[in-house]
Amino acid sequence: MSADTVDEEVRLDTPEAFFQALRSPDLRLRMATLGAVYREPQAALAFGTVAGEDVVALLATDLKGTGSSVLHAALAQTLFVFDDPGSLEAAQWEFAHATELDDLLPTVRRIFRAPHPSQVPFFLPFCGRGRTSFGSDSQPGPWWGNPPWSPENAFGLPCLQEMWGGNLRL
Amino acid sequence: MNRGDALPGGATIASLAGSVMITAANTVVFWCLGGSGGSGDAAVKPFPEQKNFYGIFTTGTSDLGTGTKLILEPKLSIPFNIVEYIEELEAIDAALHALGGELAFGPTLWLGFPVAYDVQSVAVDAFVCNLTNSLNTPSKLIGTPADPTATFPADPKNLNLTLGYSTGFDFGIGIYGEVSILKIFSLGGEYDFPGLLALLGISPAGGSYTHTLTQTIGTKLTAAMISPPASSGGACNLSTNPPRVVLAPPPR
Repeated sequence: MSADTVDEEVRLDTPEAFFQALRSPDLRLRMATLGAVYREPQAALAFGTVAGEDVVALLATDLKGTGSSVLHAALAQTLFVFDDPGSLEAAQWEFAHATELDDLLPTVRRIFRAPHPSQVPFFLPFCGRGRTSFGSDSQPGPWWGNPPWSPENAFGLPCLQEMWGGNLRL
Repeated sequence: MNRGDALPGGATIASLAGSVMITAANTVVFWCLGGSGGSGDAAVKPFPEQKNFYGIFTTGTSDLGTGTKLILEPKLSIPFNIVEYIEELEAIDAALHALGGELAFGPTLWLGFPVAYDVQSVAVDAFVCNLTNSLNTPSKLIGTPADPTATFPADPKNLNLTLGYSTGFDFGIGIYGEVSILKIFSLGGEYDFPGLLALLGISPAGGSYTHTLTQTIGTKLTAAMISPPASSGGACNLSTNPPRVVLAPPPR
């Protein structure tokens, strides 16, 4: 690899350095660290916790606090490689609050990776009650109701298929 | 004359399929080629035959960055063939005509419309950086914040590149040469002398304009990443190369 394609190597060997890099104001470093976590989730978990927060909790917190952007997408992709319950909870939160359709697909993939029975109670309210039941009961996600992504067309039928034994693959 | 035989001036007929134009300019963007021109009356020769082709091509000089400008200059080039005025060359031309080819050589008159581009600033959302390096530097943009007190956005959305450009006009002369055979193989070249107005220090200005190009950051995850100002004096550092991060958790 030429010098033009690799600027530097950053070695993260302490939990403090690792967690700082995950929230670095240097977007290059932050994104590169997210990429490293995506490739080596077990190594990321091995850093343990800092201030009571592990990597999954940190990513979930940042995901919920970051508007739709490339950083948000990177946080989601990275967080959803984990099988941790915190990752699933964040995916379900993301599904209910996503404002961009692009943000939904990785979310749905992560939710469908959960044990099948656990998907039913989550999706049932979305699938069974029509348009305004998406998002949250009080505040549907703004993406909802934008044709052609009506509830019935976008997720109603696919998630019903998945729940009731369909072969949906996302 | 056979392929590979030396031509006057040391050039050779290249064994290339199609038409090849070799120009002294950096970049040929567009070239239109017509017929070979009329045969004319050799006894009269009132004026050098104007070759029946015109070139419109763009040359690029310098690069794009702070302090430098990328100059693109579309040119209309009008060549005049004087082969028939030079007895030795006319003989070669006559021989090539027997092979369905021709030899052409002479001055050109060109009209150019240079457009000079420069980069005025790069901004990440409302955080504006004035560049200090050339955009041709591989993978990096270095600059200084326009407002040292500005805060780099924690969640940047858009990358804005403000380009300024000005238009002008110039004209000049040049020389060209071309040899072809069977209307298939063609080897030619052209050199334009510097524009007369430029030599006289005259720069007709057609106006200055700015454009802002906006791109959503991270349309591709491998696209440019942006660093905020460093703590020591501040700097804008945009690079397409994120660092390679190695996770090395301490053993438990």
